[in-house]
Amino acid sequence: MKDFFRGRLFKAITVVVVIFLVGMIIAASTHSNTGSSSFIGMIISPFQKIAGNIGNSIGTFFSNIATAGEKSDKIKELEDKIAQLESELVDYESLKIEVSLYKTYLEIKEEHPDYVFAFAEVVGLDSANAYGSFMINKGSLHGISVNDPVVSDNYLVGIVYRVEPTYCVVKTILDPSVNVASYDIKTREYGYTQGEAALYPDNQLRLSDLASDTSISIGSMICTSGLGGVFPRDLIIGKVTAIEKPEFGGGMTAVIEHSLDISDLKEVFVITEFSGKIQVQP
Amino acid sequence: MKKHDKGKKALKIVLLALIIFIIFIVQNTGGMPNHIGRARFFFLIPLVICIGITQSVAVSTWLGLFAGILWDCVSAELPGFHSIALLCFGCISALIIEQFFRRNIVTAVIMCAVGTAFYCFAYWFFFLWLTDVSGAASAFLRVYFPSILITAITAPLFYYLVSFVHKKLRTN
Repeated sequence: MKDFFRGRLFKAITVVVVIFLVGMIIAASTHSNTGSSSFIGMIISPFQKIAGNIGNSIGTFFSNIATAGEKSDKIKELEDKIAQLESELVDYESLKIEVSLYKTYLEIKEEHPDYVFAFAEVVGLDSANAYGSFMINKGSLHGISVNDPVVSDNYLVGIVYRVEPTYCVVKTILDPSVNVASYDIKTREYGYTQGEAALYPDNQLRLSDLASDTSISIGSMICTSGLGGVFPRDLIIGKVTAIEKPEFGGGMTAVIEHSLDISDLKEVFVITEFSGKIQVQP
Repeated sequence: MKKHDKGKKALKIVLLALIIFIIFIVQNTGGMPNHIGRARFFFLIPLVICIGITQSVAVSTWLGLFAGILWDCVSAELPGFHSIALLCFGCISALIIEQFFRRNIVTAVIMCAVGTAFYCFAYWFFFLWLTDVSGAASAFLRVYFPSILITAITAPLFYYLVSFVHKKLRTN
């Protein structure tokens, strides 16, 4: 053992550890990244995408085998229903197809002409993070920067936490370190949402800083308020499922159920520009 | 070292690095079997420790560093944490086997369990407890503690895998 501590290997290990510690301290103080992660991430993200597709295909294959019998009856029933709907609601089906086309490209310019989107696919996740942070296959080369909001349809799902040239890491809205200025669209009451470990398994988060005589009720729709300039206004967060009075005084809080299952996301949009955006310095 | 042995050693290192890469992909990609409920399989930790049990200090240290760098690329926390952690796991596990314990499956399981517990506690302590994240204690009980248990169970798999590679490419 003494020989090990006197040898060249131990000195080399010490140098490497010191380099990485210095890098961590610099990264923590300047919120920048180590150069190695940019280069290696460019290589690994295509492999993660392939692996993700393989995993999903295998899951779908076994799921189809398990439900084959039920599906054939269900298909017959649905075919009869579709034939009935098509004969009675031709115009409605045309409008559904048109809306479906808009949603496919997700450039909802009629509602938000100021938004600039970058489409991205979810290719990986951080297994150590307890709140579902994930990796997408677009980065700074596609105009994405730190603190850009990440959405799916019109729902806010997270925020860009770390950016590399060809990929970035997203922290979800259910993460306790992500605070979102929000409001009730009906009562116009303002607060902020934050994740909690106890609420995460149920896809929920907490709305805080409400007045003690709040008029928010169960079923209220909570959206981003746009205050602070980090998130655009009116991105959907979720619906209120409970109103709670804290044990030790202070304002009321509400429990919100997020409208999407974030762990099941395959594609997202990153809003790289919007009216009222304030570039937050890390 | 003879040329033939050098080639075998190089091939063994390349093969172990490839295994690390594949396991990293499985651990950090959605749709892969890398979790049970909220508990996660931290496959890279028992893999690096088992490499440390079967390989030399130098090889296991640098392979541990390689695994840590890969993990840091997808980490939502401070880059460098996993690099240092897995480098230390590789180095320390090799030193422990060299100096104190025998190389067998029981040692592997115990060392993997202890290593995973140490990693989970360090991660939770530095990134949840010290940063005063709400519900940190609950996160440890619901996520990281079960993760220690299910990750330790995978130790025999990685021990036999790495031992197989070591036996097939053993140098004189």
